[in-house]
Formats: sequence, structure tokens, C-alpha cells
Amino acid sequence: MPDRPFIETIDVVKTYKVGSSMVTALDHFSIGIEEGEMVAIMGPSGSGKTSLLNMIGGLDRPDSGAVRVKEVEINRLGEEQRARFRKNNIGFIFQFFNLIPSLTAIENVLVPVMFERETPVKRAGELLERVGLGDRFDHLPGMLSGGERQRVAIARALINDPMLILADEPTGNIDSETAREIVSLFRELNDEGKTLILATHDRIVAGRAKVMIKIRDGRMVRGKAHSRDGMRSLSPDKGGGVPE
Amino acid sequence: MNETDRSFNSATYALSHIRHDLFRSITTVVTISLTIAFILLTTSLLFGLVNEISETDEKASILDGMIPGSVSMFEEFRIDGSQLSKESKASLVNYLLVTSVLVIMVAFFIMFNTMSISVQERRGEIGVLRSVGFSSREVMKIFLTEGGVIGMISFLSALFLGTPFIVNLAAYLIERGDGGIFFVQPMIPLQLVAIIGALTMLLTVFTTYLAAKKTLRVRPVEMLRPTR
Amino acid sequence: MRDRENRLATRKRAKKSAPWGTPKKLTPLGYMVREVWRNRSRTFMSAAGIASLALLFILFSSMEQGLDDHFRGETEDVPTEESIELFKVKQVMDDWVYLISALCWTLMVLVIVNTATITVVERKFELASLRALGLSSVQVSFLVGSSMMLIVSFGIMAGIIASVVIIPLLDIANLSLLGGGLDLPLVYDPISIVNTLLLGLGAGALGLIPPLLMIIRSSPMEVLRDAG
Repeated sequence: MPDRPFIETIDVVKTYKVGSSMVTALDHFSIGIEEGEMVAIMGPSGSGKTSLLNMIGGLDRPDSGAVRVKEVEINRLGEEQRARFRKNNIGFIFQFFNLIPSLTAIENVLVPVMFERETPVKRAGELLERVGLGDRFDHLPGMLSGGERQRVAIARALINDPMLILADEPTGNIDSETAREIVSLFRELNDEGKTLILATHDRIVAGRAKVMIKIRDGRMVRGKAHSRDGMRSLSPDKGGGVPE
Repeated sequence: MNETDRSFNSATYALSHIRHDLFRSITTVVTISLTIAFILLTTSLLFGLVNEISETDEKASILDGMIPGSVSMFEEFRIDGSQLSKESKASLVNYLLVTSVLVIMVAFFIMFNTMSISVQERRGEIGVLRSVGFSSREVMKIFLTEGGVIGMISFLSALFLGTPFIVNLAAYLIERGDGGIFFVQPMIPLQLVAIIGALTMLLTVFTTYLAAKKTLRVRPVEMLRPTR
Repeated sequence: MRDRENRLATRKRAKKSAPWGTPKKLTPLGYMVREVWRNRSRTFMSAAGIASLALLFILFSSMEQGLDDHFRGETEDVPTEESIELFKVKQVMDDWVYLISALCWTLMVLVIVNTATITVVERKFELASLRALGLSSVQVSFLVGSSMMLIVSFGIMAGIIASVVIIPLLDIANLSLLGGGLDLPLVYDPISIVNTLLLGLGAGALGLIPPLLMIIRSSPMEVLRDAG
């Protein structure tokens, strides 16, 4: 196929062992996401949305099937190669922010590049200003509010200028007012051409995305495009970009 | 669940945890018992020396009269202690005293470290216990019991396995015609057993207290969350 | 108004917790030093354990050195009664030095294994986040390993400094400590410092193997999933 989607999972199966029983997180899951999309993945907890994000982010490997991001089949890469791939191409945003408590805001933004010879301090500062934390450079995460911490995390996700941003419950730990601001920020990033995938419970967050996917028990229940130029391929019954 | 499992207290909890995380418990016990064996080694040499001094001259040592009729564990290695004069022995006693003090210090630091791991690894568990209504005092009691049990096991293994092992290994490795280390007969009288046993319990319980104190001050909600 | 006050207060607190000011860039070294400082109480405990072991090691080295020096070039003379005694003590000492050094080193390795294990366990979530952000497990191991090596060097430095102070004092106190004994010469041996340093760093390298394996084997995804 000449026109592969930007992100593609093909027939991905992932099972986890919980105690003595096996839980199927993703059950022959196929999806194609185009570049520049903003996709919200909704579903109850345990539905497999985090697993899907982890697959796409190369944190996890499928039991079977393939995951392709930017023409790279990341399920074939080794642990270290995937780490390098994540660093250069993917920005991660977590529910619990995952900031380093001993480092200040600006240093936290610099964490992914600290082993680089030249640390882009200036860029980190610009990113912090961009997310609205121009006066919080030297604050430790403990001194910041939940929303501010998540903004630091967003700046950190942007430090390598990734094409793809993955956010797992980005508003799960902040109040709805701040959540709205965070989502607006996501929209802005998307308008600049970044591809965003958000896993979320929050309808308001999902409502601002261009595409919404609902999954349950590791299967896609519904794929729906909000925008006019939306993704036909997402709907399982039409199955456009999804190989049968 | 059978009948015996009905009674649940801090001791059964501690024991079940030791059993559950057997590998970690074994490494903890090995570490602590090695430090105790070190203490036992230096102190048993000390006792052996002081005993020999007091046999030859009653006024030679300020530790006189502290040693009862003792049981020697290493009879076969005995080499004529009278080859050393009492002055030489007294000098060695001085060094052994300094060594023992240092080794006890080391034991304190090592135990603190070891106990910290066992507390730290179970933050989530502490959080659960606190949130179902255990007071921090009760959680502390569980940890202290566990520390005590680990201390006891470590002490016994140091006494019956560690120290004899080290001494025998040393004797085997050194194997010098002139006897070397066994110019001095290591001696572990009951009194020493009691002193070191009490010291071990004190150290383990105290270090567990120190290690758990800070963690228990954290609010339970924080502990249920990932460490941040 | 209230907001402004809060912000000012926050800024003050932020200043207080970062006394070195903000560096203009982030280096692995800076991060590592920060982490060591954040856990200063435990850093202190581990470093103190290593320091006392190093002190013990240097102490025994200087005893051996003192006795060696005493007999150097004195063999042709008619041996005095005192030098015969010293020679016997030397024989005892020679063996003790090996035994106690070996024990010290083993304990040093154990202290390092313990401390590094707590670091890895306690910062599990943080280390997993770093890996999720794209740092390789080798880079993360480098962070943990170098912060451990920093603690080891602190400990050894402290031990060396303590030995510089304590050993001359012991030399003076030797005779009066128990009211008897030979005047055993303690000679502070500079080579023992180098030895201690090498042994300490060797112990560090060995002790870091299990915790670093823990890092490399762990899956960041699993840690993050368990936490969330």
C-alpha cells in the first residue's frame, strides 16, 4: 500500500497475566491514524486504552500483530532502540505528571535531553513560557499546582519537537477548569500540526478532539469523526485503512 | 482458612510477610547475620584474650572477674596461648576493643539500611493498613515485631553458622604452622551470647523504628499514590 | 492580593529547597548530586557505614605497617625480650589483618548493594518515567550507578579523614587504655589510603551489579501501570 497511515496497529493482541488469570487488554485491535489528527480514546478503566497508548509509544510490545509509527515497525525494535525512538519522535504525558521532584520546572523540561552534549536551555524556557509558566522556572514540582505540573509535563513532552504526543488521562488529576485550559493547549498544538492521542474518561476533553474512539474489552466499539475531513478509516464497519 | 489462621496479630502478620517475601528476607538475614558474626568474632577473640590474661595474672586487666567459666567453641584450634606475654595480650585487647566498637557502629548503619528497604518496599501496604484504620502506632508495632523476628533469626544463624564458618574458613585459608589468629582462642561464653543477643535485638528494633518513623509520618493517601 | 502573597511564599519556599540556585543547564551529574542531597539522611547512614569500614581497614593496615617497620633492618641485632614479644604479636596481627580486611570488604559490598537497592526500589516510579521519556536503561543505570559511587567516595573520604585524626590518638592512648600492654607502634601508612580507595571503588562496582540488573530487567511500562 503506498499511502500508509501515520500510525497503524494491525491485528494487535495483548494479554496480561493478573494473578493466575489472563486478561485480554487488546483483542485483534486494528486502527489507522493520520498525521495531524487529534484522537480521543475513551473507554472504562481496563478497556485497553492505556495498553493501546503504550503499544503506540513503544513502551510495550504486542503478543501478535504489528504497530507501525512513521513507517517504523516499532514492535520489531529492541528495548534500547524503542527508547531512542520515543525520545526523538514521541512526547509522553501522564496522569500523575511523573515529574522529578528534586528538579525545578525548567530542569524537568530538560530531563529527556540531559545526556545530550548541548542542553537546549533556551528552548526549554520558551516552552515553559508557551505553556504559561514564564514565572515558574525555578519552582520545584512540590510547589506547583496540579495544572501547573501538567503544563511542565507538556513542555517536557515538547522538548524534542516530536510529531506525536501521547497523553494518558492527562486531566485525570486536575480540576475541570484547569483541564479545559490544558485541552485548549492540546488543540493549539494540534493546530500546529502535531498528532495527538489522548486516552481519557473525560467527555469534555474527548469532545474537543477531532476524532473519538470508544473501546471496551480491547475492541473498538465506535470510531467517530467530529471534523468534516474526519477519518473514514476509523469506523470498524467501513474498515478503510484497516487491512482485513 | 484453617483453625490456626483465625488469630491475627502483629506477630502473625510479620511472620506471614517474612514467608511471603522469602528471598528478600533471606538476603536481609544473611546481611545482618554477617555483621553480627563479625561482632561475635571480635568479641569472642576479646573474651578469649581477656580470659587468658586473667588466668595468668589476676591484676592484669580491668575486665577481670567478668568472665565466668566459659564454653569454648573452637577447642581444636587451641594453640598455647602462653606463648604471648600478658603485655602483648593486653595490647591486642586494646585493638580488639576499638575494632568491636567500630564493628558495632557498622552494624548499626547496615541494619538501618537493610530495614529501610523493607519499609520502603511496602509503602503501598502501609497506605492500605493506614486507610483501613490502623493507627501509625499499630503499623509501627508490626514493623518492630518483624524487625525483632529478623534480628532473632539473624543472631541465631550468626551464632551457630556464621561465626564458626568464618573462623573455620580463616583457619583453613591461613593454615600457618605457627597458628596465627589462633594464638588466641576465640571464646563464646553464655554471657557473651546474652550481651550480643541483647545488642542485636536492640539494634534491629531501634533501626527499624528509625527507618519506619519517617515513612509513617507520610499521609496514607500519599502512600497509595505512586511515590511522588 | 491573597494570590500574590501565596505566590511570594511559594517562591520563598522554593528558594529554601534549592540553596544552590538554579544552574543554567541540566546535566546528569547535577541531577545525581540533587538526588543524593534529597536523600541526605540515608546518604549519611550509608556513607557512615562505608566510612567506619574504611577506618577499620586503615587501622589494621597501620598496625601491620607499624610492626613491619619495627622489624625492618633490626634482624641482625640480638633480639630483646620486647622485640620477641612484638614479633609474636606481629604473627597474630598478620592473620587478623587479612581476616578483618576481608570481612570489611564483604560488608562494604553489602552496604552498597543495600543502599543501591533502596535507591532503585524507592525511585522505581521516577526511573520508569525517565525510561518512558526515552532515556535508555544504560543511561538510567549510569545515573543510579554514579550517584552510588558518589556516596561511596564520600564514605571513603570520611573514613580517611577520620583515620588521620583517630589513628595518632589511638597510638598515644594505646598504653593507657587498659592499663597495660606493649607499646605497639602504629604507623600511618599512605599506601593504605590508596588501597582503601581501590577496595571501596571495587566494592562499589561489585555491589552495583544486582540493583543495576534490577533496572535493566524491569519493564517501565509495568511499573507505570502498577502505579496508575
